[in-house]
Amino acid sequence: MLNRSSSTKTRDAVALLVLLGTFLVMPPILAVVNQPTTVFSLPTIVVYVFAVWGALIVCTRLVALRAGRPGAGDDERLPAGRPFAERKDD
Amino acid sequence: MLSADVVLATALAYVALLFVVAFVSDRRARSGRVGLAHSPLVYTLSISVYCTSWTFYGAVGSAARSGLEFVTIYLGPTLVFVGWWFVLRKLVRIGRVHRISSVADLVSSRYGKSTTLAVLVTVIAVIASTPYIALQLKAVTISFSVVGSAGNEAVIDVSTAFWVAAGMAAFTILFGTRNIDANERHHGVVAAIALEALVKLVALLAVGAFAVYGVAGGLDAVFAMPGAQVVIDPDHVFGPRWMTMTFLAGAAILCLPRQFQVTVVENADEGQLRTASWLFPLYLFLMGCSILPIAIAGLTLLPAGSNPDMFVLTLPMAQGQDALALLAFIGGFSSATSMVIVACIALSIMVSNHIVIPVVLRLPVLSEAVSGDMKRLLLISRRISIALLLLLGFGYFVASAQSDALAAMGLIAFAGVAQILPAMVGGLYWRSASKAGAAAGMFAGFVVWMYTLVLPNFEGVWFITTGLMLDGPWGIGWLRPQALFGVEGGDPLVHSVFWSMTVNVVLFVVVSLFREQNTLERLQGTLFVDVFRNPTESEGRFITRSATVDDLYIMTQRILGADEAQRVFAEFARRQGGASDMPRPDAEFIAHLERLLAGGIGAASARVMISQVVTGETISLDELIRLVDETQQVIEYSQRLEAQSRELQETAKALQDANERLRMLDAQKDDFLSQVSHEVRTPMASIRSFSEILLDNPDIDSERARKYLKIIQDETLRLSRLLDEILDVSHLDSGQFALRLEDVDGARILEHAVETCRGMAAASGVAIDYGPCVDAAPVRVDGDRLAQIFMNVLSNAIKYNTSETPTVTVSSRIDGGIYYAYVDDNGPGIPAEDRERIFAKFARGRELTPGHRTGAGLGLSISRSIARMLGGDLELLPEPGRGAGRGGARFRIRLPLRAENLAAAGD
Repeated sequence: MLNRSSSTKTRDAVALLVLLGTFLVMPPILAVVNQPTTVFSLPTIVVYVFAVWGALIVCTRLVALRAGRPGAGDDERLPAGRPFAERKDD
Repeated sequence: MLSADVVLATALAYVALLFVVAFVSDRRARSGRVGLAHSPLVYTLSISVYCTSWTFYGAVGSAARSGLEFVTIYLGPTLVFVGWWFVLRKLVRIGRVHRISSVADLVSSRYGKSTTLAVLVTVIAVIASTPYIALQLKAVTISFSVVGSAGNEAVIDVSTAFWVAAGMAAFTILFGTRNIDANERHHGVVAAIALEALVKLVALLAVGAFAVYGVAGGLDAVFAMPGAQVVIDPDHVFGPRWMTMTFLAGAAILCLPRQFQVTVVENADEGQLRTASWLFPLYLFLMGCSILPIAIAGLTLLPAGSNPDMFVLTLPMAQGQDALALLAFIGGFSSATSMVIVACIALSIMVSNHIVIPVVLRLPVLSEAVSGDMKRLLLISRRISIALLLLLGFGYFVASAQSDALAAMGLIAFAGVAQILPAMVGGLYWRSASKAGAAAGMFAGFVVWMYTLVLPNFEGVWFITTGLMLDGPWGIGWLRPQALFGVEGGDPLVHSVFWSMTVNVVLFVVVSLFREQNTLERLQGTLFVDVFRNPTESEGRFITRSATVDDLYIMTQRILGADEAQRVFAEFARRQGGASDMPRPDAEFIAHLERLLAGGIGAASARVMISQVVTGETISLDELIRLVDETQQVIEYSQRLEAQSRELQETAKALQDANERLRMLDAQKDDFLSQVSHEVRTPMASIRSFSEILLDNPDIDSERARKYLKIIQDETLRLSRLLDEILDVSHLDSGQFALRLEDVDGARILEHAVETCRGMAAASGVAIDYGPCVDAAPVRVDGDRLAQIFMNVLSNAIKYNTSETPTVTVSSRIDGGIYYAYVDDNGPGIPAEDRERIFAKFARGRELTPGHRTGAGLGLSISRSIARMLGGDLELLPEPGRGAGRGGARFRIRLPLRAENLAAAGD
């Protein structure tokens, strides 16, 4: 099995989310959903758009939390002791 | 009913609150207590400066006119933030490492610290932003007159706009240009706009909740209102315009100067971005949730002809909710002011860093005049730019107050700044993107944008006549601004974005490919593209130059001020481990200083300034660029080595396999030879012995002589048959086997073969029966060879049948265009382990019948090879499911029917 690093996993998850999200809100898909029906007595298209939007946010939060865990192995973190590390936050 | 005085007092009180918040957090930050200001929450809220009054008021208007279209303005940024790992994270990292101070600085820095590009981006940004600022002023003015004068929005009081502009200028100058930092951060401003972000969110949510629960009485009731039909109905929403707007909104969140300012420049650490990746889309989501209910309720309840852009205010007012209307007004006020403040800061930094400073540095007269205090010049030029920008916006507003030209300005501005996108994102990922390409693409895209989108808005002004719009300039039809090259009938926005982005990207790519990069461009390109791999400090390694520490100090002091300069120098001296307060002016220190100054005045200007004090500037870039390339080459080289060793391994394995096969073939050949000699020796022996008998006994009686001669003849026949077969085998193996294909009837050939074998069967006491057979089987084969196959299988079935009552059954059928012939016997059957072996050369089934040995065991092998050459096969079917005790073998010959008979057979 490939032993993928945490940062690779984050990258893949993010890429998947962007592609899927873009795909789901493109006109052809919306045209399919855009029917004069209702879900919970709300128009289907409205429910769909907001549901996709909300799901994207929830998934991104999961990915972001996972990427931010201590020891998540961000191998690209800036090394300490570099010139801007002594930046004075004034 | 709200009086104008109450509204004014509230607005002033709110502004006072903003001043206090900004002042306090600025003080706290200065004394080192950043606390909340660095929290991801504040960072996210400051990004929501994206939601201007155009989104606050205008989104409801858009929803009332075109339904869900307003969602695109939120979806684009949502997708960009969902994909934070790619573009945004890289931007933020580059912004921090290279101390990028604005979007113009980013582009100029990437392409070899080019001043030209910085100016170009600044001009685009200012031209796109000024009308946008005017739009905010207009929104504040109209909302003020709506709330304050009982919904009479016809009265546009220009003086309101003036005082608003003046107030914003004061705030921005006060908190946006307090200092020239090594990093362009404004804690007071960020705190204030974070508060404003909260206020506008709360205001919009409150009006939305009021529309749902106060007016309609539930979410489903909202969509049951008559107004919902208008909002949900439109069919044309989901099309090219939807995609274009989503793209533009996504581009705007990256390229708008104010967005770049809050997202990249004000960013304190990358953890903030991680939180913003979902929190900012959530903010947009909440804003988006309120829009539809307000639009629907407004359409339903307010009198026809009401301005849908003001529903956020007029809906609560019509319902007598004055307090809510006031809150909504403050919300709209917040969105307008926060946008104007941040936009002015970002633009003023760009104007001062990329236009004022380069001019001063290039004109010796001016340069002398400000030689002592560049910092003052910077601050003053920024303050003046802010005032000028607001004045410009105000003037624009006054000039176009009575027209609707402003309403479209939001998307036009988006399309304008989107021209920066190719150079910006291309520069992050494409090492060969060059300055010339970026400049050509951006400039051309900008011109096309102006011509196709901005110009038509000014129809009837100056030289822009209706005739120009309808017939094109000088009557050239294919140059019509809204139908370039005759592409017409589409949405003007889609048309403009399509052409401008196409021209932009094509020129960017093509010119980049054909124009060589200079060394600094290549260095910067590598540093930017590989920002996660190459730490920027290496820049000092690439550029060797020297200067006296005094010159450097004086220069730094001019820009950062004496205290800051002293601190920077002392700190670096400590790091170098020296005893004095002054660092050694080595290449590393100069590079560090240049980056530090770049944070204040932009990379291009910092480079010019450093170059002025650096003595004997021997920038052996060529030498050092090679270092960058070397890393690249080492990586590529090792990858090539890996690939080569993989290839070698594969070749070695293939050789081993081939060797193995050769060995096997060799063994087979030896086997074959010994088999052949064995097979030939037996008949030869009997021929020799019988001929010797005949020779030795001349007086042998004719009866016995005949018998011996018969044996000799039989053995000779057997020998020649054997040699024929061996010849066949060798031909088959070498692929020289000639077939004479002809159209024949398989059924006839089978019948003929059976009849031929009857004599032999009768001799062995075997009966041949027919099972169900087809009458005709048109095949295209070599008839003689097919007969050979049939006879071979039949004779095997006869020869090896040891049953008490030996029977061979022949049957055939046609199925799916294939002719099948079966030969069954009731002999002992073939043991499972021999099922494949019998088709091998010299294999003979059932060695228990030595008396009947008449063949060399080549028959089945040859038959199968021929059958396969004819496109069919010879198979031994699995043990048929007959009753126990009746074994027997079942051979099947399979041949495809002729093509022209396939259709008939299929019916």
